[in-house]
Amino acid sequence: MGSLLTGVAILIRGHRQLLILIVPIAIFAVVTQLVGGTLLGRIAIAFFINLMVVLSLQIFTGNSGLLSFAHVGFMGIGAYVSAVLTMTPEAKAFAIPDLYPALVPVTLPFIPAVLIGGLVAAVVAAVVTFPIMRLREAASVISTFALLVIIQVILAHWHELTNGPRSLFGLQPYTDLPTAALWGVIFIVVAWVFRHSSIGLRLRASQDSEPAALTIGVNVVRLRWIAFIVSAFIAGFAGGLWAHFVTTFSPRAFYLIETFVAVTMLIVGGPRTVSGAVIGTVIVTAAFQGLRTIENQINLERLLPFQVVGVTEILLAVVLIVVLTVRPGGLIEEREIFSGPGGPLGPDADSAAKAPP
Amino acid sequence: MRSPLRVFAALGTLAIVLAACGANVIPGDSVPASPGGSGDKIIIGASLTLTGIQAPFDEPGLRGAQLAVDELNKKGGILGKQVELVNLDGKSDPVIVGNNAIQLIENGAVAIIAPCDFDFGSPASREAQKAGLVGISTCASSPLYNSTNLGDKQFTLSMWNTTMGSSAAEFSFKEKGWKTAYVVTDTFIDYTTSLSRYFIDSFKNAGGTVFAEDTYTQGAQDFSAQLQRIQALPAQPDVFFVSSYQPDLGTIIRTMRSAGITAPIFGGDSYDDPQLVETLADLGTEVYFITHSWAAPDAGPAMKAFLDVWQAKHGAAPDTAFVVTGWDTVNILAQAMEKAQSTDGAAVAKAMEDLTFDLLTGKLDWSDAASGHEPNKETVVVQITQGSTKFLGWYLPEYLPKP
Repeated sequence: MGSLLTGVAILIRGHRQLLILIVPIAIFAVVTQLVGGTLLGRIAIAFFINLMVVLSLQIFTGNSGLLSFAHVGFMGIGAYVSAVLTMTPEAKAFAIPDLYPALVPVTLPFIPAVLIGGLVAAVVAAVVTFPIMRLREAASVISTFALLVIIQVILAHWHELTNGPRSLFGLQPYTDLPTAALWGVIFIVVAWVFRHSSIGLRLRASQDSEPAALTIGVNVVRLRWIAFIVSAFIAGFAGGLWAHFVTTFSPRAFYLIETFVAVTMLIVGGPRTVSGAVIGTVIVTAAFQGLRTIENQINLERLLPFQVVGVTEILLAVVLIVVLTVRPGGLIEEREIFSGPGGPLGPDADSAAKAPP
Repeated sequence: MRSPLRVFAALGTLAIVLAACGANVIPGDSVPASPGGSGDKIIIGASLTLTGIQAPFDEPGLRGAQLAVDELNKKGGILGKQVELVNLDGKSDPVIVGNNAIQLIENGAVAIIAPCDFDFGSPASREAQKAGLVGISTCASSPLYNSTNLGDKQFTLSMWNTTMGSSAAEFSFKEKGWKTAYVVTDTFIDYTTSLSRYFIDSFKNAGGTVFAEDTYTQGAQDFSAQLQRIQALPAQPDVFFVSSYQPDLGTIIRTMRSAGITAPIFGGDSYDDPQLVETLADLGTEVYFITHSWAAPDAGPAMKAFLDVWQAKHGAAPDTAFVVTGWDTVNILAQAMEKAQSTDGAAVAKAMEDLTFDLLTGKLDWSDAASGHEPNKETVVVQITQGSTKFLGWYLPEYLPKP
């Protein structure tokens, strides 16, 4: 216990910026839970689940430099696996009539089921993504997109597990704000530790110059693979929480729209940093909810002679274009937020791996 | 550091300012009406989707609902109070649809209109149920949209797909005298797959014989293998039930006709598509389908009255038949509230179970909550004849297959 506390103390001392990220979010969660009401509570839960998906993308994309479109597919795997594990046999008889008999009586508690969902997503990722990790740039992006399509088609046609393209229903709404917030914070720490671990550091080195990283003995493909597995676990976990939040969904929920939301959040914030992932999620969520409110207000008060529809989506797209133009690396580009020159690992800790421009 | 800070500050401020505007959603009505309706007006909340993939089905419904509210208010509203319809865009996102419903209920809505789809509509119904209010989907036709899944105050205006399949089967067998059928099922989506199942079940129940069921997958654009199997049949069936949808549906029917197969072809509401009618313009008259409504004066006096009102308001005929779903939904709520003499959720739900409604989408009688609020609903039989469609009449099947 003592050594654990010491370890935590060292982590805190060395990574003050991590606290700067976590504390406001934790306060927001606690305040919302205490005085927020149902609506704000739901927005907060959705925020934390999106945050997990964005963090999972950050762990892979941010460190390896390869954009992935596949992660929402792994979210879908986690959602379906955890749903099958938590539903009662009666609910399964209605919702998944063709389910394998061996799985019908299985009813697990919520968090273990979600953890297994994440593990299955990680195992699938481990099995299928190794070859993709050899690719780079456009080929890599397209192959992850292809993977998303494959997962989508399998989810929509594996009747014995997902009930095919039909809606899955009958899940219990287990996901509450404390659970979502707690795991959101845990995954911020995981992403942070991963980024600063030797794996993260070597991956970031490979991102800046793959040949240089290879010459100093970095096994780039294997490290990317590890990053993908870790991130697929988090995406699958987020899917499990999401499934028990909306309680009714079909495979189409884990496809292009959710993918673009997550990618937008990451790109706006800055894929290379954990702070970027967090702040991108905060800003896009806040802007989306704010714009949505304004749009509703304009329509309800009839401020304009016509109905305003889709302003939210258009302005969000404009924000994306502006960020990509002004700051292609995202808002928090290279170094974690508030990292002064005396940062945790010396003056240039976060850009240690960065090659000269 | 200056540039990033500036951009960050600007965006952050923007976001916060925008979010801060979110306080009061319903203008001029900060005093919520109690569930008993003690406010000076009755608010009907809607979480219909105006953007995204669900919008083509919800947006016309909203226009119909708004017109119905305007007409109700001209005649004195509901229970002597003016009616206000408040819609928040559900954005084709189940989470937002649910959030909207919560927001509407907090602002005093006494009933919730939900999107025309089980995935997108059920979150709104679930929140309505939690608050003890009636929720009704404008046209979700999935048998999952039932009171067992969603709660005893939840309804869908649409017939279930069970009724669609059964109506096609019974009309073929009883009205047309077709005794044998051959089924082609597009297995790409659930709707076409389950519709075939309901047709086969009902056709056999009526006493008919189904020779076989063949499958097709949307996107294949090649029907030759299926065609060979049809041509190899010892005897041709009286009717083909082809459960698919556009764009491939046109290809399938054209392929069959050009191979000399002349037997009638039957289908569900996916045939209710002007593009399909155009595609089949030169192929004779033997294509039939079951759908929800017939937006022309020959459907009955109520439809004629609606079309006149619509024409007066918009100066043109409705561009899509989906507008009538919103009109019907609002009128059902109005009739039920008048019958219950209250806007209380339980009383309105009871009235909706008790009443039989005469709607633009046919006569409708819901079963009680214990049997799922199954809609016992009239369907429309339409024939496609050389580039146009012909209304054959309303049809109510006797038998309803299990979902």
